[in-house]
Amino acid sequence: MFNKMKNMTFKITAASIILAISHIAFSEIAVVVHPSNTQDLNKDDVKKIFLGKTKSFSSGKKIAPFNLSTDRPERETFESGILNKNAKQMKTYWSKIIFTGKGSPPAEKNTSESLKSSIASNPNSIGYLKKEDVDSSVKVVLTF
Amino acid sequence: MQLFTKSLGVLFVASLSQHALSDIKFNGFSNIIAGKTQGGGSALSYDDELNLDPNSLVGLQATSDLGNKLTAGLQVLARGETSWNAEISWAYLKYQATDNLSFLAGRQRVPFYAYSEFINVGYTYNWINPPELIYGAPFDTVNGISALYSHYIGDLESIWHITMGHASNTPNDNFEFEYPDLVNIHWTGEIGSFKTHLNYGVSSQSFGLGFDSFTDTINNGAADAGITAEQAKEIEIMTLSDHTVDDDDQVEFFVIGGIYDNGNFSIASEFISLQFDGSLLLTKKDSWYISLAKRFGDFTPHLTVSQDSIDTQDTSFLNILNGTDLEGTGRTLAFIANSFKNSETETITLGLRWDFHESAAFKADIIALDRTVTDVQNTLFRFGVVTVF
Repeated sequence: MFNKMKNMTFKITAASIILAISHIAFSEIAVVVHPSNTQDLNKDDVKKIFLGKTKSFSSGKKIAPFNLSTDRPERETFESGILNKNAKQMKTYWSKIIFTGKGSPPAEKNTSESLKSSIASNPNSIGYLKKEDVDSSVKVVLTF
Repeated sequence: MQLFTKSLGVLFVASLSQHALSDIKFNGFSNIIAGKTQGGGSALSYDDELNLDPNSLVGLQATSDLGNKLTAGLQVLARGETSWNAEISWAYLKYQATDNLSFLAGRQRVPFYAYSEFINVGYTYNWINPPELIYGAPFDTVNGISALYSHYIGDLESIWHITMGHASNTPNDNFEFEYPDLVNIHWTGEIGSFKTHLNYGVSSQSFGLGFDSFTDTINNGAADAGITAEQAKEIEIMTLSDHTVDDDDQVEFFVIGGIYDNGNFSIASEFISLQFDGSLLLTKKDSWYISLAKRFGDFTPHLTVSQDSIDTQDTSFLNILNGTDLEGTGRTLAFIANSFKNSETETITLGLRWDFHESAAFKADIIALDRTVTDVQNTLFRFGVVTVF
C-alpha cells in the first residue's frame, strides 16, 4: 500500500514537472505598450529599450519601461529571449551602470496585474506579459 | 582637495534637500575578502597571516533624479585597509543633455581600463580583483567633468567617454603625486558579445615631499647633517627639489583591449603602456593580461596570465644619501629609490566564482607571482563573498 502510494506520488510529481516545463516552454510572451502608442517596435528596438540604450520613443517622449520582479518566470523568458542574457549577466550589466552614474534599471512590478495597470495608465510605458494575461487595456507590439 | 570633496558632498546634500527621502534611490555593494600567502613571503599587501583588510570594502550609493534632466549621485566607500574610514568615491551632478549625450561634473572614476570605473564592485567580475599588475594605475579618481556620447554605426555601438580633471595620489604621509590637468579619451565599440576599447590619457605630474616645505626640509636636513647648502647642491639633492616644481613632467596612458563574453564563455585581454616623461623615478610601465572563463551553471572557473615590466630612471645618485642623516626625508628618498628598481613580474591566477545567490557570489583564487629581477616567488590565496544590493 505504502509503495503504491509512493509510486503514485512519484507519477504525479513527474507529471506536474512535465506540465510545468511545457507550460514555460509554450507560454508566449507579449511585449505591450499603451493603446495610444503607434510606433512599430521590433526585437532589437525592445532590447535597446530594456538595456537603457534607447531612452525615447520616436515621438520624442521619454520611455518608461517596466520589468517584472526576478521571481517571475516571464522575466527569465523575456531576458533570455529578447535581451540574450541570463539573470547573472543582467545583474552584472545593471551594476556596472548603476555604480558608475550612467543610469538606472527599469522599474519593477511584482505582478502582471500591476504591470498591466501601469502600462494602461502611462502613454509612454512598455512592458511584457504572458500572452494569456493580455487584455484590451494594453496593446501588443511583439510576441515571441 | 579635501575642501573640494567636502564641497561636493554639501552640494549633493543641498541638491537633495528639496526632495523627499522616497525620491532617493539607495544601492550598495560589498566585498569581504580574506587572504594569505604561502611560505612566509608577502604579496599584494598580504603576508602569511590570514588578513581580511586589504581587499574588503563596503560601498553605499544614493542617487536622486532632480528633474530637468539632472541627477545627483553620491557613493561612499569604507575600506578595510584604511580602518573602514569612509571616503567619497563618487559625488556628481549629471546632466542628460540628449538621449545620447550626458555630462558628469564632480568626483568620478576615470575609465582608463575595461574594469576601472566599477573596480570596487567585485560582483561585476569573476576575479577577486582585476589583474593587479595592470590595474595599479597611479590614480583612478578625478575631480572634474566628463562627457559621455554614444551612437550606432550599423550594429556597432560606439561610446566616447572624455574626462578632464584633477587628481592626486598620496601613497604615504611623506610624499604625494599631483595630476592637475588630466585629459582622458576612452572609446568603446560593442557588437554582439564582443567589446573593444582604446584609451589615451595625458596629464602633467608633480611629485612632492610635503610640497611647500620641501626645500626647507632639504636645507634643514642638510644643516642637521652638517652639510652646507652649497654642499647639498653639489650632491644633487637640489636636483630633486627641481623635480618637484617641474610642471613639464607628464604621464601618458595608452590602453587597448577587448572582451568576448557570450554568457557561458569569456576571453578578455588588455595591453597597457604608462609612459612618464621627465619623471623623477619611473620612465615606463608596460603590462598585459589575458583571461579565460567558462561558466558551468552557477560555477565559473577562470585562468589569467599577466605580466608587467617597469623601467626606471637611474636613481644611483640617491646613493650619496647613504650615511647622511637627513631624517625622514633621506629615508623616504632611499625608500623610493629601492621601490622603483627595474623589474618584471609575471602572475598566473587560477580562480573560481560560485553564484550561490541572485545577488551574491563566493570567489576564491590562487595567484603565483614571480618577480624576475629580485627572483622572488610568492603564492597568494584569497577567498570571500561579494554582493550587490
